[in-house]
Amino acid sequence: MRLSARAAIAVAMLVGIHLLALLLVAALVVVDVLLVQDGRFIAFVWTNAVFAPIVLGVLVTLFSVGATPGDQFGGTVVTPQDQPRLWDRVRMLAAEVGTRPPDEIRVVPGANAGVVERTRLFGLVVRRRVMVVGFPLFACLTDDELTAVLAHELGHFGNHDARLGGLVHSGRAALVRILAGLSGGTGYRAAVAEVIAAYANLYLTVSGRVSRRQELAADAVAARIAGSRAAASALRAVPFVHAAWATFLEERLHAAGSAGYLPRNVLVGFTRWWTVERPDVEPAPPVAGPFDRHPPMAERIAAVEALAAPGGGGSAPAIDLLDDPSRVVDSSLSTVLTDELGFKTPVECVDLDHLLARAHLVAGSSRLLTAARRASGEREATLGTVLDLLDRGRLADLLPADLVPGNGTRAPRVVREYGRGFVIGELAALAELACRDAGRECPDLAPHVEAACEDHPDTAGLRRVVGIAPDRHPVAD
Amino acid sequence: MLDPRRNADPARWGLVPDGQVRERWLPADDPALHEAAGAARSGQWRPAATLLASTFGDWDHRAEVVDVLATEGAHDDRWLTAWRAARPEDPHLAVVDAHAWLKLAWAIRGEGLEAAHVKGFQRVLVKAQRAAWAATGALPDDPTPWWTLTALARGLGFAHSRFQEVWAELTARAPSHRRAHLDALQYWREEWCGSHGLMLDFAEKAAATSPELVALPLHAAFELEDEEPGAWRTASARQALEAVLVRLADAPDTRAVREDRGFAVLALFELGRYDEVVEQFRLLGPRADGAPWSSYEDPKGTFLNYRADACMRAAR
Repeated sequence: MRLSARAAIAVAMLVGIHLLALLLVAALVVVDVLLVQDGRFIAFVWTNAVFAPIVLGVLVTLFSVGATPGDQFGGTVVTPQDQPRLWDRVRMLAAEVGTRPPDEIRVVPGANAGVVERTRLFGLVVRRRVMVVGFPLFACLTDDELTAVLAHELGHFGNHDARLGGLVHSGRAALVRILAGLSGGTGYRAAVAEVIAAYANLYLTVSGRVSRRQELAADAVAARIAGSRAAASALRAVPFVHAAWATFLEERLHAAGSAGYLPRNVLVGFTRWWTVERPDVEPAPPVAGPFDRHPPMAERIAAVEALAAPGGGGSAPAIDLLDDPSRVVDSSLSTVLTDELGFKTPVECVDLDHLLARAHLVAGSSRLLTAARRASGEREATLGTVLDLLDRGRLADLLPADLVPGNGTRAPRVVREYGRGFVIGELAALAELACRDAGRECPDLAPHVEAACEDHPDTAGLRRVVGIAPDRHPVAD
Repeated sequence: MLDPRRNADPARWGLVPDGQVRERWLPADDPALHEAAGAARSGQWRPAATLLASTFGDWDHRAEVVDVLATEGAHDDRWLTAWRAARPEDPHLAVVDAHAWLKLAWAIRGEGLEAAHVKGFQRVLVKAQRAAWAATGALPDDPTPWWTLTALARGLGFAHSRFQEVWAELTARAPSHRRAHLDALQYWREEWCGSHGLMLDFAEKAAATSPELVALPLHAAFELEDEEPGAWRTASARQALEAVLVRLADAPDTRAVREDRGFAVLALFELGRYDEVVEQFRLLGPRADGAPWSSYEDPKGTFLNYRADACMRAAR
C-alpha cells in the first residue's frame, strides 16, 4: 500500500473514533427512548446508571485531550526577548523546513527535544505548537548537532505530505496518552475501554509505518540543513547524552536533594562532569515494540550518511546559542530540584562531589556520636569524646542497642563482637571526617581505627594520624 | 479419625518411644568434656586446658573437644581471657582461641544473608584466620589449626590453589581428619567455592582413602538433593551406601558412627529400603544428636518423622 494512502486511512480512523463515540451516545439515546415508550422505568434507570457514566467518560476523554495543562512539559519558557539567538535559529530552521515556527520554546531538564502540539478533537485541530529542548543537549552537543536535532523535530511538520503527516504525528501522540488513561477500569467500563483500546491499537499499527517513514524523512531534512556529518553525529551522541543525564540526575542531583542541598549553577557542574570526569555511561538498549515509531538507529545513521549532504564543519558548542545559560538551566531545573519538601542549603553544583562525600560520612557516624553523647553526658560529642570513652574501656556503651546477630543469640561475646564492627565502621567515618575538615590528607586509617576499638584499646595512633592532641576535641560537624 | 502415623507404635518395631528421643549430646558420652565445658561457662579455664592438652595426638577426639570448647568461648570468653592471663604462651590456648573466632563469625552470620551480618562475619573471619595462623606456629604438629583454616576458607573465598596448600598441610598431619573433610566438602560446594562436580570428586576420593570416610559421598548427596533429585541414586552414592552399611555392621556407638547411620537412613529411605531404615533406627536408639538431623530446623521432629514413615512402609 502506498504511504500516502496509509496516511489517509490513518486520518480517516482518527475521524472514525469520534464517530464511534457518537455512535455510543446514539445507541444509549435510542435504548432510552425505547424503554420510556414501553414504560419500563426500572430498566431505564438501570441502563442509564450503568452506561451513562461510561459514555460520558469516553466523551470527556475524547474532548479533553487538547486541554492538557501548560506545565506538563516542565522546564522554563524562554521568550524571543530572553533568547533572541535561539529564537532566530528556530525561526530560520522552520522557514527552511517549510513549516510555521513554534508558538513557545521551553528549555527542559531532560536529554530530549521535540515539537509537541496541543490539539483538540484527537489531534484534528492544532491549537498551539510548543518546542521543547533539553538543556543537556545544549551542554553536550555542538551548534551543528543541535541544529540537526531541531531541524529533525521541525521536519516532522514540513514533509511533502505535511498536512496528513502532521495530523498522523499529533494523532499518535494523543492516542498513546488515551491508551494510558484507559487502563485500570473494571466491568462494563473495562469492556468499553477494551473496544477503544483495540481501535487505538489498530490506528497505531496502521500509522506506524507512516511514522517510521516520517522519521527517515525528518532525518533527511536535518541532514539537508545541518549537513550529513552533523546529523549523523547528533544521532550517535543523543543516546549517550540521555544516559549521562539520567546518571547525573540520580547520582548527583537527587542525592544532593536527599542530603538537603539545592545545587546552583548545575550547567557548570554537569559540563565539568561530562567533559572532565568523562563518565562511562552506556545508553539503554532501545525498546522495540510494535508501536515503536523509530527505525533502528544504525539504519537512520546509514541513511543520513548516504545522503552526503555538505555542511556541518563548525564545532561551536550549542550552549553559545543561549544568553545567560546558567540561569536558564537552573530555572529549568527548579521543579526537579524543589519537589522534595523541606529547607535546602543552596550550594555550588561543582562542590557537590565533596559535599555528598562529606554528607555520607556525617550520616555514617551520627549513631556513634549520639551514643557517645549519651555515654559521656556531654552536650556535643566529638571524635575526641569517642576516643576518650574507648580509652576508658567503655566500648560496650558505644554499641548500638538494637543489634541482633544472625543466629539471634544474646551471648555476650557475640553481641559485643558484632557491635564492635559497627563502632569500627562509624569511627572510621568520623576519623575521615575530622581529617577532611582539618584539610589533611587521610592516610590509611583502618589499622588505627581497629586498634582503638580493641578490648585493650590503643587510640594514640588514631589521634596522631588525625592530628588531634589528646586534650583537644575537633568539632565533628 | 485414626492417624496411621500416630498409630505406628514404635515399640512394635523394637524402637524406643518418641518421648525418649533427644537431640542433644549426652554428658555421659564424654564426661570430661562435659565437665570442662561447664567449668568454662562459669569462667574456669583449668579443666579445659587440662583436657585439651590430653587430646594431643588423638586428632578426631581433639576436634570434638575443640569444637565444644570453642562454642563456649565464642559465647563468653572470660575463661579464655583468664587462661591467657595465667599462661599467655599456652599453645593449646592458641588452638581453641582460633576456633572460637571461627564459631563467633558464624554466630554473627547465622543462616541468613543480611548485609550487616555478612559484613561482621567477614571481619571476624579475618581475625580467626590470623589466630589460626598463629596457632599453626605454636603447635607445628597439630592438624587442628589447619582444620580451622580449612573451615574458614569458604567464608573468605580462598582461591583453589590457596585452599589446596592448607589442605596439603592438614592431610600431612591427619590424612583422615573427619571434621576437616566435612568442612572441605562444604568448601567444594557450588554455593561456596566449588561446583557439584568438584564436590563429588572430593567426596569419592576421600571415601577411597579411609574406611572412616566412606560415608562422604552420602554427605555430598545430601547437599545436592534439592537441586539434583537423583543424587541418592547415582552409582557412587549406592556404592558408598553399601560400604557404609558394612562399616556400620559392627561399629561402636560413637558420634561419627551415629552420623554415618543417619546418612545411611536417608539413603536407604530414598531407595525405598524401609526395613533396613527401621533397623538403623533401632541401632540409633534415642540419639537424634548430630548430623544429618542437626541440619534441619527441627532435628528431633525430622528424626521422628523419618522413623514413623519408615515403620509405616516397612514390610512387617
